[in-house]
Formats: sequence, C-alpha cells, structure tokens
Amino acid sequence: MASPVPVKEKKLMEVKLGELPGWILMQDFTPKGIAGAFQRGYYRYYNKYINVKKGGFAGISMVLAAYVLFNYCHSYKELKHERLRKYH
Amino acid sequence: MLRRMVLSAAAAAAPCLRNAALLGPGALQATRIFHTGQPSLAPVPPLPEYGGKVRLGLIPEEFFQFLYPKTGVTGPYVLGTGLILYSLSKEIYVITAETFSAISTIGLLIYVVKKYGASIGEFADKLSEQKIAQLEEVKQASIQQIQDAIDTEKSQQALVQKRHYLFDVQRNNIAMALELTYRERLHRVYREVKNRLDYHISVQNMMRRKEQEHMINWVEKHVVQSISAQQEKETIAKCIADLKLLAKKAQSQPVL
Repeated sequence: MASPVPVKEKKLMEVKLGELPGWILMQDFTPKGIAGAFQRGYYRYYNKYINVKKGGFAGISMVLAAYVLFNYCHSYKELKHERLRKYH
Repeated sequence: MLRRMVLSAAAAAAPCLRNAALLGPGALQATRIFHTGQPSLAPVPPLPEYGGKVRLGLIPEEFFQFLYPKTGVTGPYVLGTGLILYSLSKEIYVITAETFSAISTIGLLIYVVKKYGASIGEFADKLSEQKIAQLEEVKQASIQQIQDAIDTEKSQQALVQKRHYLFDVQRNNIAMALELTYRERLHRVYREVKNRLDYHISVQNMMRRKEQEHMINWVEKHVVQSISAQQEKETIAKCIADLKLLAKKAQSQPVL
C-alpha cells in the first residue's frame, strides 16, 4: 500500500479500492473545505458545459434531469402507495 | 518574566515588523519588491469553442468512453435499457398520471429543440459576435490611441535633437540687433559732434564777415570824409577832360 505519491493528493479515480476509506477520511471536512468542494464542482461543470462559445441544450438539460431525479427520490415515499402491484 | 514572555510572543508573531524595525523607515519602502512573477492571468485563454460532448442530451461522452474497453459500443445503451426495465418491473419508477404528462412534455421539448435549436443557436451567436465586435473596437481604438501617443512622443524626442538650430537662429538675431544698435548710436554720436563743430564754424564765419563789413564801412566813411569840396571840383573837371579825350580816340578808331 506504500505508494510513491501520498494518498491524500490522488484524485478519486486513481485511489485504489483498499485505500478508499483512508482517502475519504483524509479529505477536508471543515465548512471552508466543503464550501470549497461545492465551488470547485460548480465551476468544473460551468466551465465545461455552459461557459463556451457554442453551448447546446445539454448544459441545462443535465441540470434539469438531475433536479427531476432528486425530486423523484425525495417524493418516493408518497409515490410508493400508488404502485400498481403489491408484490414484485 | 511575564513581560519577557509577552515580548518574545510579539516578536515571534510579527517577524516582518521586527525586520522592518531593523531596516529603518526609509529603507523598508526601498527594499519591498512588487510584481516580480509572471502575470498568470494574462493573456486570458480564449473560451473553448464547444462544450463537453453529451449523448442523448443527458449523458456525457466520458461515460461511454469509460465503458468502451469492457463492453464495446452497445454497452452503455444495454445498461440504460436494463436499468429502465428493472426500475419499471420492480416499480422503483411508478407509472402514474404524471408519467403521461411527463412523456408529452419531454416529447414536445425534444421536438422544439430538434426543429429550432440550430436557428436559436445562430441568433445567440450573432448577438455575442456583436458584443465581441464592440469590445474589439474599443480595444483597437485604445491601442490606436496609445500608438499615436507613442509616435507623437517619438517625434517630440526627435525634435529635441534639432533644438540647436533654433538656438543658433536666436543667437544670430541677437547679434544682429546688437550690431544695429551699436551702429545707430555711432551714427548719432557722429551727427551730434558734427553739429557742434558746424556751430563753431558758422560762429567764426559770422564774426569774420561782421569784422570785414565793419572795416569796409569804416574805411569808406573816412575816405568820404577826407574828400574836401575843392578836391571834388578838381576831380570832376579832370574826369570831364579825360572823357573828351576818350571820345576823340573812340571816334578816330572805327575809321581804321
């Protein structure tokens, strides 16, 4: 498990499966760190899909789809009662 | 001991202040260096032309590339189909009345995007092109202005090299003016002196004339006084005798 690059600075895709819990624990969980993570994520998405010369519909459609999915998951509890069959 | 601790804490907390105190007030300003690194934000890199590729308008291309080595081209589509069937069959996605409204809405959306997407994109591109052209104009105008200022400055600097011509001309003018006033004054001096000398000469001439006239008058007066009456009669008789002689001589001459 001793790798030449320290575990904390590796990106998620390069972390080996066994090192994952250690990696998660090493991340910055202070409010500033969490805010920084949200900011970084926002700017990554923004600069890739929206802040371009010829953006398409995909930029906002992905955000809307994610919102739809989120709301569906949130209201699953009530939707459960409208199922057509009881046993699946 | 407490004071020593406080002092050491203050010294540790503010090392820059301590260094500043060592340097002195004037030297601190001189040794501070600004802007040594290369500016990292200039020139700003241009915006990318197209956004990240997305398939079906929902799933980024990276996901397809991620699954390609293991499942080939159809992998993600099979995965998608499988997930949809699984959620339908296990009723993780429940079919309600809203399902049909969702299908109609999404259908309409897809139709509108497919039909008018390109033209709306072109319209938006035109708008942004106008904005960019405006900004470019401002930038070019500013560059032109600064270039003109640079050229003006250069020509001014070149003119400075030719100042000596101006100074030569001025010096010549001054020398000529000095010469002129000198000669003018010289001439005036000459005139004044001549005036005075003329005065003396005319005074002398006048004196001599007066003396001559006076002498002549005096001599005439005395001569006239000295001629007595008798002498006058003898003189007149002699003059008549001479005139008669002359007349005889004159009569005899033309005959010859």
